[in-house]
Amino acid sequence: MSFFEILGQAFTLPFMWRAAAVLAGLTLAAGLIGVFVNLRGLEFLSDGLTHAVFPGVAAGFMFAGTSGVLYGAIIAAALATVFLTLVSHRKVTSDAAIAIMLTAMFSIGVIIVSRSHNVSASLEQLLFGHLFTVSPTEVVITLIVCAVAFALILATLRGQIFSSFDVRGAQAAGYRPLALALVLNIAIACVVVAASIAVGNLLVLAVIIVPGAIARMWTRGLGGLFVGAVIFAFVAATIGLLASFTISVGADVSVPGGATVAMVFVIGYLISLAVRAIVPDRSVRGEA
Amino acid sequence: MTSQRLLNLDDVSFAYEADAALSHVTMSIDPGQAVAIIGPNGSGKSTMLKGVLGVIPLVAGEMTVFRPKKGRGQSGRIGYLPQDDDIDSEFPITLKQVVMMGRYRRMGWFRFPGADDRQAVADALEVTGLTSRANARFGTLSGGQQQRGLLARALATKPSLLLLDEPFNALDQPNRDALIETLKDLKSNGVGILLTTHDLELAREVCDSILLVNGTQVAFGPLDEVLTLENLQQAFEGVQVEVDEHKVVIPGHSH
Amino acid sequence: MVRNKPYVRDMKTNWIRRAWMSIRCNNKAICVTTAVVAVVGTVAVLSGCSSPAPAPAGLQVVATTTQVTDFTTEIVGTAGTVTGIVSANQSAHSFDPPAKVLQDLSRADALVISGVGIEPWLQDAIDASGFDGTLIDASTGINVVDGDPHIWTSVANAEKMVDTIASGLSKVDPSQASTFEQNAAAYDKKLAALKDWAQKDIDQIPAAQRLLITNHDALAYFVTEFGITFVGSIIPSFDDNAEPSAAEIDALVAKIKESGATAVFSESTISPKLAETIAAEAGVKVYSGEDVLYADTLGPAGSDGATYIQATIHNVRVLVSAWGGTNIPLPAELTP
Repeated sequence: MSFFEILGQAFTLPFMWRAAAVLAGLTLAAGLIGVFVNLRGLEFLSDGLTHAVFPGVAAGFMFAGTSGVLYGAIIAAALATVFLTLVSHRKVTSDAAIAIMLTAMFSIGVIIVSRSHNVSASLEQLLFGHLFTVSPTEVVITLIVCAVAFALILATLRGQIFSSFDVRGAQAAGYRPLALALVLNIAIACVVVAASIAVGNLLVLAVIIVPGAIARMWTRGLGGLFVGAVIFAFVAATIGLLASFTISVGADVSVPGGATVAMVFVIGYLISLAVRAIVPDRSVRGEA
Repeated sequence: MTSQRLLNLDDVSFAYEADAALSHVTMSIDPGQAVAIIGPNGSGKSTMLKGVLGVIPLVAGEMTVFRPKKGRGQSGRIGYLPQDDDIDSEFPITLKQVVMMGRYRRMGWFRFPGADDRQAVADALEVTGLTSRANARFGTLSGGQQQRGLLARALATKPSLLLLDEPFNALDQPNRDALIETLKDLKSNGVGILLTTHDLELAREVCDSILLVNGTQVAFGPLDEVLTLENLQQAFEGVQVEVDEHKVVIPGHSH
Repeated sequence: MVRNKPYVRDMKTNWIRRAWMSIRCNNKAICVTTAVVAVVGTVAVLSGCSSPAPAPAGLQVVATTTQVTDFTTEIVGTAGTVTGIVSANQSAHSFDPPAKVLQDLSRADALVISGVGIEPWLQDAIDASGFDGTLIDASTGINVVDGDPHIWTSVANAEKMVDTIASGLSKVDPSQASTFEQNAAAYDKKLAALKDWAQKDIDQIPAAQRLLITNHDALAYFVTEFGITFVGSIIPSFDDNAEPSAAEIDALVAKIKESGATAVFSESTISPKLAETIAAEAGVKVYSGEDVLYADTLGPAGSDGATYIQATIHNVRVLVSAWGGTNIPLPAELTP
């Protein structure tokens, strides 16, 4: 079959394996963490973190060239995380604070970019992702970052669940909601940086939000939420990667790897919505 | 069963930001004792419970909770039923899983639920009469069922001290009776109970002592000693109360 | 119907059952089947829209920019396969190579680059693809001024680039060296004719009126070669992505008015809006649309600038008529 011939070609190429490794790490972390983004309604905060990475990239490039880009992103993400966690834990509307920080950081980034003319190539790489041209170093860094995010959430999983469901009950049981929120936001920031490499800064939200949203449509309780999200993310990313390769090589249509992956996520969500609307759901009440 | 005192407060004050402050509380609970906290709106009843949990800081006096060294959490040996639920009814969690949350502190972060955890959950569901709805999504339960579910969560903790904030509120008569029976059972097993309520009749059924508060402690002691006209007038400050066979009707008191 | 089942059971060995129980769907068979069908369907669709590319035989050459692709195609002719990476009207300065490009690179025997840092994405692409052929840098031996990478815009430079590419390819595939050299010599003759014609055409305009304002600083070598005066560019940089500040725009408008220039020329790869704004400010004409200049890349097949020679002819003609001259006819070698 022609498709399998192309597939065979795909996995003789080292850049495909690197792309697959990055996506594997990313989907594992994003699937798990995306569930909490969904449960706690942190979509806008994730968007804020995504935009906050941009000036870090620009500044990193200015100080240390292309190799400084990733570290600049990480530092900017860390600073933004701490700021946002502290602010959103107050009883002030956190949306306003997020919006202000998001636009401020982005403006700073634009100013830096217009002062140094050569940053645009690196910037485009981070905005749109460079799935096929990730270097071995970037693969290692991405996997480490994803592993950190995954471990952070796994280690605090019960507290995160409790705190997401019932903050005051969690506090009463002895958990510390502020610390848990900080850990979660750090994990989100890690995923944002890792996803910026793979699918690009502009499409990070698709990878973070969609798997959790889909899993939630199909499970009654917690069981299956996390596993379902990770499985969907992994399968969708794999399909996206292979589709991008196959369409590019087979039909000579230039499709960027990252955008294809994000596209598959969104299509998966639309299919899920459609099926959910058609298939009736009476099982939520726990009856036969 | 240990005879160690469960809770001891000596001229304690709690205060935090927007919560109602509470000062000069001196009281204690021994195993098998039940205390009801009574007072008007905003008198600090909920604050008392949160203060015992450590959620609201102690700003004066000395408090001893039965684990003399209060570490990071009480290892689930205090069960807590909160008053109002900010609980998202769309949250994908089953009743059984909510009750299992009561076991989280015991399980730590890496242990899977063991046989004793599942047994505790099963017992708690049975006691609150919710076994048949165990696998339903929590948000689909009625208000009363949800409250019983949260009570089951507190019970699954296998507490030595149980803190209940307005536990009778959303319950209809049969469930109230069931709750009273449960609390009496727990008492006979040595569990200490501290609850807030404005229903004096129910308090009288379950509790031995009353803590009367109004921003500060008015009185603490056995029921008959505390519920004097003088004390009640001091606590409810000008609000018309009728003392008729210890039935106190407090006008305009609603939660 | 409410089931009364014993609540506590040994679930540890029963996780499959638990996963099945946790799925929220009235008819689980339908839900799971749909999910499987969706995945399998996607895979099947992909198999439909592709045909295999067999591992190719013969000399495989990959070239980066449209200009060096053109040169390389002229040199190689039918003696091998030449694939260009950057396509027409796409900027070479920033580029995200798709999988096909990387696959081509992985199989290429030689890679021809324009050099001088105009392809900043190139090293990543080479690393990712595992390219292990010969790198031919067409800019070898060319005098680079101020780090400007647009070396091909000078026809004399173009000739040198062609020679460099030909000798590079001859080392890669010595069996066809004579073919490459013959093709290169023939093409060089055309380039020489081009240079002559262009100089004659431009010389009819008095030097003081040969004033050039473009989008970005891409034609410096062209300007030097043919004695043109460069007034300024809208984006004061070699990189086409920068944005001019208000002060920079004002300075340029002042320069234009001072120089007495009558035209601003837009480029094929850049949006003409900025050029139009400045032209309106300075009260001069804008050349865009069909009259656009080919600077960064050649045009697509069938357009006026599809090859290097055609693009240069087009540029010269547009400039000369904009400056008020009449274009002289082309010599025999250049007439298609």
